[in-house]
Amino acid sequence: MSNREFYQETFSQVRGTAEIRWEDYQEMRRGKTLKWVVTLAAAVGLLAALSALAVAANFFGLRDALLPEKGRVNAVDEHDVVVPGEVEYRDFVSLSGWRDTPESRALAEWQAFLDGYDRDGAVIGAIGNSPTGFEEDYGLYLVYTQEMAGKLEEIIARHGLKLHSRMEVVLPESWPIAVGNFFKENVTPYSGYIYENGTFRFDGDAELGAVDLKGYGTIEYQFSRSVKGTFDDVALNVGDLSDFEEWGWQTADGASVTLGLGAWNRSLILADLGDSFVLVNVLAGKEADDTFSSGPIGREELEELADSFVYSALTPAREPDLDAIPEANDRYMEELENQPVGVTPEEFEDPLYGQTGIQIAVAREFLQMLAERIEAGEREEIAELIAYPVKVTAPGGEWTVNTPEEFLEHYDETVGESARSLAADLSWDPQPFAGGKGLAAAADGAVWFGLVEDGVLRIFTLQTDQWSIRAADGITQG
Amino acid sequence: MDKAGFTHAVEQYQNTVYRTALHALGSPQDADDAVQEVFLRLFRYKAPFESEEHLRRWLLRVTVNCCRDVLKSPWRRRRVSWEEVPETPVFDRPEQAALYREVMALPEKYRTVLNLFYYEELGVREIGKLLGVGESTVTTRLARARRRLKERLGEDWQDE
Repeated sequence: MSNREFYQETFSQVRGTAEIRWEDYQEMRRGKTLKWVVTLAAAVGLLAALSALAVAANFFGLRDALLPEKGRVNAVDEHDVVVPGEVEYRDFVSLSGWRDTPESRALAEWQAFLDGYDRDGAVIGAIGNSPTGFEEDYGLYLVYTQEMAGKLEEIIARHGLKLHSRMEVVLPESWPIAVGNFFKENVTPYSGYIYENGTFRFDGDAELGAVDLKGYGTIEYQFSRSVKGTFDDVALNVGDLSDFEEWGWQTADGASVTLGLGAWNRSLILADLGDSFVLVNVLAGKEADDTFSSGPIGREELEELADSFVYSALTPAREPDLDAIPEANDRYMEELENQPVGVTPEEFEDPLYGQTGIQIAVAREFLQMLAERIEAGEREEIAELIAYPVKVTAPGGEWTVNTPEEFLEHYDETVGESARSLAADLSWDPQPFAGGKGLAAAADGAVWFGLVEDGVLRIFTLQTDQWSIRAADGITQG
Repeated sequence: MDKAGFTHAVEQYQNTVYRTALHALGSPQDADDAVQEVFLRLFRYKAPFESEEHLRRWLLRVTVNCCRDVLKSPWRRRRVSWEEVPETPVFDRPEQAALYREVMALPEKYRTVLNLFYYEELGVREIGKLLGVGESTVTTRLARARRRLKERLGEDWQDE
């Protein structure tokens, strides 16, 4: 069974429960409010509520961003699957600034209030999806009763803060319009959002070690810049802060930042820019896998990522032109619609992508995976990566091989014979294959590979001076 | 849209819309809400559809955009991280339940791409246009999601 069949067979069993009827929409047109399936209560149940567990006060580095109370989250098993009914307590940091700032103190108070409010969801369950009357003034916050509105007003008044009033989505190419050029060429921002005061957040990635053939690769992160003076209700679950190794770092443009290298798929960059606060949630750590980034990172990679942002371009914080952002988004979408088939302008300038359809980061990942499998002697997995049929030539003879199982009979006298040197060579950067055919080559021609369908890479040639595995009927792609 | 056309679209594509929303939002309740919102937009939509496929792709596009709106709401934005995943429905076979769990444990951007590629059978270019990202980003997300699924599911997920 193919992966596609497996996926379709699985998810065809997943069905919603909403009842969709023409008559209901007709009723709504006549002025009645359609009662959606109640979800707000469920949403409240998912919130990272605060518990009464206090943590010890600490006065330096990452702990200075730690909220005073741990947050309650759903417990997960060893496969990261939620265990129903079980909760765990985790360290949370404020995205708004150090713990003793008005913004973070207000956040802690608001979180504590929410944790004790409407715990059984009865109030919000009764409201359902009906208008609450608080949308206009508190639409960007979790407020659905007068009591909540009153509490929020009380907290922000006590700390001298304002509330957010407007937010816009920012598409990838619109960031320069929204904020300016605050990142270097190795940084790619994805979609995100920005508020009226210049607070913004986005997911992004960055290429590290770009000048080094054996560079790290791609690292993923979530970037947050919070402008001071306005209340922001987002906190970040960082697990256990004692897992972090932390140190101070002066970035390439002279900003002083705090770096925290985490144990698993999380590290942190914190920077107090005076009128705003930056927190970058890096999706990699000392023992990270390559789910979100190219693998584990060390201090050097975290420092390089910290250097990839231009903090001086974020200071002083400026209010964005929120009306210009949707226009920029529209232009971006229009450009995407009008691009020639197969490439974006950025990719068009990449010779490897232009000639093979393979993005450089993907090609590097493929080679890295192949090298690791060869070095580890994972013969079955290597056999699965070859585009069959192939002609195998070795000192002992020549064979046409049609399946992974047949190839395994020849593994020892080909790949197995020179595994270590071959694996080392595969660290070379991929290039377009000089003979065209839409293939990429690496390791001075030791491996040729290409796409056999959207996004699926296969080996067409693997060879050394002593043996070769080559596409049997010439170089063809499916 | 008239009642017959609307009813046909619901019968034919409600599950398509639900699956797409579930992948994007990670919550069955939110996905059910999104289904109602998407079909409300269809109810209000005046222009004719050129074909059945045009209707399907219109619904996919509107679902992705609706979910983007939901994701920017304050109800959702509070959860910056993705530790929490929904409970698993009942499946015919254990490996299907495992696939569901692993997919839903991935971040939204990987889940959505997986659904559009494997279930809805859209090409990388069209997925990129739908999501407002480049093809290379889609390809990278697919590669990472596949690798993660291979690691977690072993032989149940084929090498690609």
